[in-house]
Amino acid sequence: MVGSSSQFQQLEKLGEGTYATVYKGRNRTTGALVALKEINLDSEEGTPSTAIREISLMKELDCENIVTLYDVIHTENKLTLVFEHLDKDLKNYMEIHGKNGALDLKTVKSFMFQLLKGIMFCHDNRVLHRDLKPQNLLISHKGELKLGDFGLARAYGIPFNTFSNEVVTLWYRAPDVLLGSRAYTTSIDIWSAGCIFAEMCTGKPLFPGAANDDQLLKIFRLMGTPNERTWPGVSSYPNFKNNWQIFVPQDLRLLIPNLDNMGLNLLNSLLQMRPESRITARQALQHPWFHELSTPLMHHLPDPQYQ
Amino acid sequence: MTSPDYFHQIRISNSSFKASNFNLQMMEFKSHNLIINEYQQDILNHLLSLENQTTPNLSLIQQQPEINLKMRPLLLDFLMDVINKLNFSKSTFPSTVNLIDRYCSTRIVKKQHYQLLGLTCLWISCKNLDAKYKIPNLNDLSKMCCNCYDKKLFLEMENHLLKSLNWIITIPTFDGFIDLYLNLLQNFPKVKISNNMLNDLKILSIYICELIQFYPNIYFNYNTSLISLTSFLISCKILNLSVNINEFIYNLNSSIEIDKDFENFYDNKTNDFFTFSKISNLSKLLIKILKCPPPSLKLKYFNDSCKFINLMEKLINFTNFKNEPVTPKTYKLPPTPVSNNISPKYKSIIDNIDLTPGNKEDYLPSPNSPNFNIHPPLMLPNRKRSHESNEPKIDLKRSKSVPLIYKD
Repeated sequence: MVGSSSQFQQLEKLGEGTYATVYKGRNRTTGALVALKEINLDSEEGTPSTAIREISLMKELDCENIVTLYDVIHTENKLTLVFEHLDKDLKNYMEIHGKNGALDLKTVKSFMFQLLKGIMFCHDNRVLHRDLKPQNLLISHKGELKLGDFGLARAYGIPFNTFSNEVVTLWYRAPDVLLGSRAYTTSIDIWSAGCIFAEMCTGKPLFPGAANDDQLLKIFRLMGTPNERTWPGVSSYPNFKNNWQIFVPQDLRLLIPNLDNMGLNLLNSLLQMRPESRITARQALQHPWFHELSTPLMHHLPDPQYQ
Repeated sequence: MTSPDYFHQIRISNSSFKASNFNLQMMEFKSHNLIINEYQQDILNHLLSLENQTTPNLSLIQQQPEINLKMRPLLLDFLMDVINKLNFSKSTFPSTVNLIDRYCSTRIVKKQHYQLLGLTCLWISCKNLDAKYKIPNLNDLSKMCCNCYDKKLFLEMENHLLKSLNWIITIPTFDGFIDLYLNLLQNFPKVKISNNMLNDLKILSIYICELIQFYPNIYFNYNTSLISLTSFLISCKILNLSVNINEFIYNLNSSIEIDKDFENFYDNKTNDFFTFSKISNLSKLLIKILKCPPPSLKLKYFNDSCKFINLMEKLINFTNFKNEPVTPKTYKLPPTPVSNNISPKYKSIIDNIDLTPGNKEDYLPSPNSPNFNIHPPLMLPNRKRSHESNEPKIDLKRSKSVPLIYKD
């Protein structure tokens, strides 16, 4: 469909990002709700590269666990992306439905499964999301979880390209990226998924750092300070320091007492400090923790590859 | 008052310096490689399905009333020069070419807008693929074409192009496929290839793919994936790598999963995606153009002082060797009595033109009567004893790039 802005009635503001504002909207003809992401166009820059990447990648990604882009309305000074509207994001959901933010394990399991499916679909299609956080995961009233906001997403190559390390909101940023790696790979989305997993269980962000160094220290306090023995080669990272305070790895069980052993095992595989030891999305989906997911739920979430 | 970001730039440059540490890069490479092995089959299938949706349509391009395929190599040559000077990614050129051709398959383009289209496609590809600091701004774009287009025109063109192509901008490029094939080759049992060799293999394959884009008669008749594969296999031959080509193609075919939408892409008899006959047909065409680069590629790869020259020499020797039986000397037509007033400059070009049958005046492509040598071939001083004089004589003098404006 080719739309014009007048086709949609603009309702309340849903959020504001660095380069876009998101409004709730209503299709005047059908009455259906949509999310309108408005990007102001700069007269010197033309269409921003973030918008070009976001739109062209979202056109490729047709998956149940990824928000659908319905239309793009391009006028001289404004670009509006029309997305499928979902009731809330994971952050709101946890505030409303959680006990002090913590969700029950059944919901956590269902959400983690869907999150990993969305991530796997991206990675299979050589796309890195690079900004996974509760605010970017949208939840429908039926309990479906979808990945949204591909503003930082990029296609990755087989020999990696180097990227900026100013990606992913600090709290969900992987230690290798914090240490200055610029040639990161699919493992950066997996670390974020681990942080989100823990946050859903406890209701609190796992590593709420204030700045790059503080973020690293918060990670070390729980996962242990890395050294050449635990992580061969760590000292060659640009931001490596010799004088970090030494922490020993903590047991994740103390932090999340309500999570069963199998779940802790999965969390631990997602939150590996070394990027190459981090589990991949496909392996994670086959983790025994998900085996008990009843067939109806599995049926409800068909494999995105063969739908 | 000092801003909190006073040292921001210093920190960034320090960290990028440290990030160039060799050990670190090897570590990052290993970790990426582990993951790629898990995903490469899915990526290959995804790229193949995407390729199917993003192929330009030659018959529609030929309906263009004002522009024709003779102008295409000139425009591409100009864009290649820009890309070389500004050091854009390897995917930027093929992506730009794809956008130009796809746009020309959807809209009529006026002659005087062809360069505007080219630069706008380059701009969009750059924004999609290159680092932020490399992306040219509107002033830069205007300067590249000697200010013959107003800044506003680029914005209009961009807006219009994105809409016409339905925002499908991230297309599979030659280098993407080549990287996949390289990775497959590395995991091939019995094959041990040094990193230097792999790098050479990649450079050669990419050169061949870049070259093919200047030859519409080849480019439009084969898929990106097949052109990349054939270039890759020819490069293996040029470098004398002991790769079992049949086995490689077989392995590649077996990792492609059939999707009903692409049935017409599979061979009816063998049910293979990449058939041996297509590859060998294409490689026969390829060998004839290998040493006929356009000026921009000549400057990039065949410059005496550039690092690729030794590699390119292997390529030229290989082509000379391969071409001899294909174009026997008896084929040379006797010279036409040329009128005397032709300038000597043109004469030398005409001398170099391959006069094999099928050489028509225009470049209208047809798979049956391909015409080669849009660009004159490069000659080694001594064809048979080329080891002795290992410096191919290549004229690097080229006219200053002139803006491409087609005035009536």
